[in-house]
Amino acid sequence: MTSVETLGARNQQACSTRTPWTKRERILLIEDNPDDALFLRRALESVPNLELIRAETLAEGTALLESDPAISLVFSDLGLPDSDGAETADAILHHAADKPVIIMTGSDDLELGEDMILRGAQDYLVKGEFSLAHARRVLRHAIVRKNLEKELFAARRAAEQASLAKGEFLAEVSHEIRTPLNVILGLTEVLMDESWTNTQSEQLQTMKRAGDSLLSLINSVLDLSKIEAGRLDLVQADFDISELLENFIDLVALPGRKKGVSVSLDLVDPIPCVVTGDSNRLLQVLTNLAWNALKFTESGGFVKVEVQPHARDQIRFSVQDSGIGMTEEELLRVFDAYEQGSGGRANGSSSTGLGLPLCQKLVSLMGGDLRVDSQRGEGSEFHFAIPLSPKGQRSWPAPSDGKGEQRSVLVAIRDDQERGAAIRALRHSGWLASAANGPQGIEQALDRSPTNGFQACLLDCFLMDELAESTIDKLRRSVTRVKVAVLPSPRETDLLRCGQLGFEGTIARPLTPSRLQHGLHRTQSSALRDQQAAECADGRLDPSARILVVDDVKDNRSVVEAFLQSTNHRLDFADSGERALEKFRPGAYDIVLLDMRMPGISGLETARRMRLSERDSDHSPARIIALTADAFEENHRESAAAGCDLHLSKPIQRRTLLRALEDASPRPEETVVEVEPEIAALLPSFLKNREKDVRQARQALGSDDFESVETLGHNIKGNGSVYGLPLLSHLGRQLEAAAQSRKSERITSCLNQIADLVKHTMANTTGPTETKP
Amino acid sequence: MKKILLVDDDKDLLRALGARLRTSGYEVAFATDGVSCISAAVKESPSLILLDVGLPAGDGYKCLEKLQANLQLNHIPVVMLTGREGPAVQERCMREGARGFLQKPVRKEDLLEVIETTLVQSESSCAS
Repeated sequence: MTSVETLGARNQQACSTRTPWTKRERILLIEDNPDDALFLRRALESVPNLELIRAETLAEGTALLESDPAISLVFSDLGLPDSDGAETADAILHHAADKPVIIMTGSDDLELGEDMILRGAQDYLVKGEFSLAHARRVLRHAIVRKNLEKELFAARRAAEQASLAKGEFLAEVSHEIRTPLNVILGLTEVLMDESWTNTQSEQLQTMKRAGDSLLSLINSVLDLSKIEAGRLDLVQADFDISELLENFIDLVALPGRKKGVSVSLDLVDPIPCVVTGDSNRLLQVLTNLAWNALKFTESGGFVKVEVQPHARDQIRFSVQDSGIGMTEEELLRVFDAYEQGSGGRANGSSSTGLGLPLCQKLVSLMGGDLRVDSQRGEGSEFHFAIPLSPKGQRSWPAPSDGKGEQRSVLVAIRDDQERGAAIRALRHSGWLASAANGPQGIEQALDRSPTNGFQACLLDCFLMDELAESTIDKLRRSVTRVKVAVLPSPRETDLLRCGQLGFEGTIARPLTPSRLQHGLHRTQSSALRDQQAAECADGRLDPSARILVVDDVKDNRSVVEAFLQSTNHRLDFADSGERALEKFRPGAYDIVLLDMRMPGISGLETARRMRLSERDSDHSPARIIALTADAFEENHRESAAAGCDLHLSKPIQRRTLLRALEDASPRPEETVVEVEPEIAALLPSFLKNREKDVRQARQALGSDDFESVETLGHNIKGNGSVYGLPLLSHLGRQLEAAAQSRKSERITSCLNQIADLVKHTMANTTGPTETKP
Repeated sequence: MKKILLVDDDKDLLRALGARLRTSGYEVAFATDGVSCISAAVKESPSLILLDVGLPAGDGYKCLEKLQANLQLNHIPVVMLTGREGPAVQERCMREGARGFLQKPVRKEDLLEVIETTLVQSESSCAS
């Protein structure tokens, strides 16, 4: 039975000012006991603007809740004819999800009452213990609380939507900025190649620098908004960490040298060689931190990067500088986006205030915590440890002199940081290292030289000219095997001087463990060096391709034209997808550079139709390179699905474009090196097997089986040149590398090239083998 | 005529290297894994073994170790063949008893030169 009655009608006028709500509130009372119901009704009588409806069972109550949205609050007994206890509470709380619920419990059920609040009830009343005033207060508070909650919720929703809109706006704007920036940077690069007066070329460099920093700012904004939107995914792959550190230190060393700041890399303890993680993001964090450190370090100071194993499968990175440091107040705000320290301590990314917040977010995505220690005037140290599970241990050959004794090396380098790091790196790999920091040190070290003398010596080129003739003589005599000079850059004059002094090799700065090892080793086996040089030459072939450039923006087409002016490529242009499809015929172009965002027929659709028209043709398919201003991964996947072989993000750098074109260019046909007739006779079956390899690799790629692809690439690398096909070996190596780094697009492109080459060679070699002399 | 045992799991490579060595006046025997390498070495008693580091079952290093441990076989010089880059592999091969080393892709001149030098060296060391 449901009863509806209006309460407080009599004194509504008088009391209206005392109620915290203005509209009429309808209250549902679920109570089977008429006495309890009456008591509560009496309690609420004096409250104005209330309307009470009553249900006697749970079923009746929930039915009312479902059918009557005007109910704004529920009083409910727990013990009802059709339900009891927590069951009642859960059912009501479920049906009255957005309404305040006040539970009435028996006097012995205090704990149950507390429990109800945990389950979501606004309050509870213990039967027989509450007064009329108490009940009114509970009611009043519950309604006010609920209304406030609603307002808060709405406000939060609005704020979240605004933030989301902001993120989308930022992403869209950054995207729009990248496109014209592409043109500006590209044409600047082209201009820089021409001859200018000193002032003009300085101005051009400034333009380029400003453009680059604008680009890096936009990239940071994009990254940050992606992280905030939860859309930034890390790419987990195996990578060689020493290679990464080498690339990194190269990026930082040159600006460091220009500023007069010594930059050193110190591997305090050996770390695994190949690890699994996101190498690009790690590189991004490290360079950001190091550039930041450089910026606040004056000439004569140092920036030191330390890398060491941390807890289980973690590696700790630290970037220290001897710069101006930070006050405690600045320390607190250093990771806040868009904040800059009051003392001029800006946050990387060319003082945009985004570099450090981005680093912190990236590090935490990678499973670490970026921290900073600093004191004003004492320099700063940024450090973090992230999990990078090892895939293989660096196994440098333990140097021995063949009689089982350790080899000794003399490290004569002036800079303390650099020398320390070099010595540690050499010791990790088994050398006995002695240090010297100047001519005197060298003399002393040579006098105290180990019993079997020094087998190798590293000499700083900055010390070279300070050595007395006698010292040089001594050095030449006491170092038995390898003498390697340490150079800032391999300049002709330095190389000549090294040769005169009897040095067999050089190592370029900045020093890294693998550079040291390679340098010492390379000097020992010059045969290996010759072979490497020969292999390099294998891959360098002069490309000449027919290229169709499709972009609706004239400036973008001009940039590509300018980039490729000095090459042998033949260019053709189209300003829309429609025009491109008119021009495109299977076999007419080797490469299509295709803008993805065009009015009319989109880039994706253009690519799809090109692929369709190629399907029934005998011509080998054109390479389609997608050009976009989007840096998002999903776009890469989309364009690959539409049939694009490669994907380049705008703004395109000239180097990137040239490399992509080189990869995609058809190779000259005369790549077959002459081989013995016996081997030539084996060629047809060999080529058939390679066709099988390509099929297998494509299958493996389809099921993400990169290891099989790697093995196939490895084998092709091994057997190609034996059959007189050095280019095939070269492609095999590229395939192997692409599979190692799990780059599906690269793999596809390698496989296409291998398939082409095999097909070509087949066509060209079936004749001659039959008519052999 | 000197006999050379070629061990690699890539049959195409074996065929080509075999043809090349035959034209240069060597006799050739083949094995495609570590186990058959040992039995072929016993059966054919080659003058030199050209052994791939990256053999599938039981890698080349293991095979090299077995050859070195076998009193009947350890006088046969072994030249290791590898597609892995970097000096580490070469150092390891030499440390574990190989007499020569070839990096894939193998150039013809290198192949013949390394084999010849290794043969000459091992003969002179046997003679002395």
